[in-house]
Amino acid sequence: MCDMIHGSGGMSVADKEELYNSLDRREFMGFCAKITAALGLGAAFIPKVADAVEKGIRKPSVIWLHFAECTGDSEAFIRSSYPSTEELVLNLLSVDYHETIMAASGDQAEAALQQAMKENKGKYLAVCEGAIPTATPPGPGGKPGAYLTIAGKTGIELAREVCGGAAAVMCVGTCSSFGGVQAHFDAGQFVEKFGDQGAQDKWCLYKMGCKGPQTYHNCSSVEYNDGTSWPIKGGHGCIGCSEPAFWDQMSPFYERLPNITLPGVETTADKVGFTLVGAAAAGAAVHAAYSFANRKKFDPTTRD
Amino acid sequence: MGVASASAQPGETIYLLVRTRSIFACLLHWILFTAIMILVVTGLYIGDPEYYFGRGEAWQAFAMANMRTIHQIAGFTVIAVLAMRFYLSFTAGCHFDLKQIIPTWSNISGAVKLAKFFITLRGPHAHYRFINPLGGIGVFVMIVLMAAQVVTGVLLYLPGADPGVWGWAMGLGSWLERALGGPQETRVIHHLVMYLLMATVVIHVYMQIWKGCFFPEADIASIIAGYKVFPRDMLGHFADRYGVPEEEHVPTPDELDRASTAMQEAPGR
Repeated sequence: MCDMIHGSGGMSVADKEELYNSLDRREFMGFCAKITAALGLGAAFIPKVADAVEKGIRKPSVIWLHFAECTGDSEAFIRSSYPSTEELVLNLLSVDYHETIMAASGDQAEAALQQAMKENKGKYLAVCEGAIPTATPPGPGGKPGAYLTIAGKTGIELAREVCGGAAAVMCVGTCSSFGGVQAHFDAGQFVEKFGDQGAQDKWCLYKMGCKGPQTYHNCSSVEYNDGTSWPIKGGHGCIGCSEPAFWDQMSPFYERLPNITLPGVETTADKVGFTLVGAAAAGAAVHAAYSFANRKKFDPTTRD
Repeated sequence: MGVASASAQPGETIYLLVRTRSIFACLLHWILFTAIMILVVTGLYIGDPEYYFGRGEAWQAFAMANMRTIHQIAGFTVIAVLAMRFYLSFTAGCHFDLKQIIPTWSNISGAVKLAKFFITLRGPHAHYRFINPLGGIGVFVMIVLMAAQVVTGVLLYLPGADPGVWGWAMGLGSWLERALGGPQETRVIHHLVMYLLMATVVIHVYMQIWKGCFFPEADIASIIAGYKVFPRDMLGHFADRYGVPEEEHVPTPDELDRASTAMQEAPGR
């Protein structure tokens, strides 16, 4: 205990955290009572000393801003195991503003934001999740970035206000780093062959027969084997293994469409289709030639 | 019935403009045509996408999402056009034109006769003011194919649809999808029916052009403004009498002049 008192002036943040975490509340208050006695102060000063000590080992304040995003990064953040979520939010950090997980809402939430910015000016960490819309809506009164407003402020204004007083700004996820996320499926970027450049760039496996767009499993977020991986993370298309009768309904596993079995021949829908349209066109061409050759022999005006 | 050319020199044919359908029916035909062509192009992309449209970083490209959106908008356009056309069918061609599309016995026998003539190019054949029975059967087949596309298209759309809007259809949809053999089989049917529809489009267009080339009436014009051009001397040839007086009155040159003037002043039905 004496070592702690002696060394508290030159402690690193990590050491302070260790001290803080090594004590329970009762031990901590006992420690503060001893310091108060050593200073020759009355018992009434114990809470003030405790407050001062707590401020001295204050955890880094975090202000987490949400812009145009899907909250996926927050989802990942609150699924932390080592350290656990509650330890992260309450003990290691002081997450003072986070719209998704904070208890406050409305005016209280805004007050918490203002208080955190004021109390920790120049020291807090600003975490930005999501892209910041910058376009100006058409029509009178439209201001830049008005496609996203929180508490009457545009995303641009909010980012300037909060990030301006931060010790550091951290962009989490691709939306805030690179401006909006789209999956490779929506982008139209598909692996053509296992092992090609697209596969190495983790493009969509749709053309390799991946059934992801028509399945409903949560393996992409929970992941198999204690959160280790799932098929697409391993570079293999989804076979819809959680869907009813997937061995029939999702097959073939490496093609978009099942083959068509006609008597004596197995073929694809495209081949059948091209044959059909081709036959119609060929029939029309033959009939056109036949009609032209016979144009003088039939009476176009005959009546039934 | 209007008049295109009023005065005839000896040996010259006088052509009459014969109303076949309302301008709205023409408009719907071309909206339907455009929507189906868009559906075919975007559908072929969705079935087998090309990287060409998705170049750039993932956040720069939006090819598949755009193609799917356009495909869905065009699909709902087809549903809307079919519904409107059904409503118009009670008045569209100055008559109830569903009568010529539904495969009744008389329509089927008329279609068989026309098909026989169309294949052999010999023997008698009837002329029609509106859709002929063979064309009517063809249109009926196309409507059935379009309905199949609408149903399978909606089945493929349902899993990603807004439950607030489509919730009522989801139970029925998943039952129907299972009945068709599952999502993959539904997808195959959607592809195959598209090709079948394209084959009927080829035949439909060919037969319209063929009529324009070999029959005296200029039929293909009737889908643009709703009139077909028909030789006056052949008016009595119409096998369908809808809207045509029983006793065909062949106008005198004086009457034709007056009718021509009236038409220029007030073109219409």
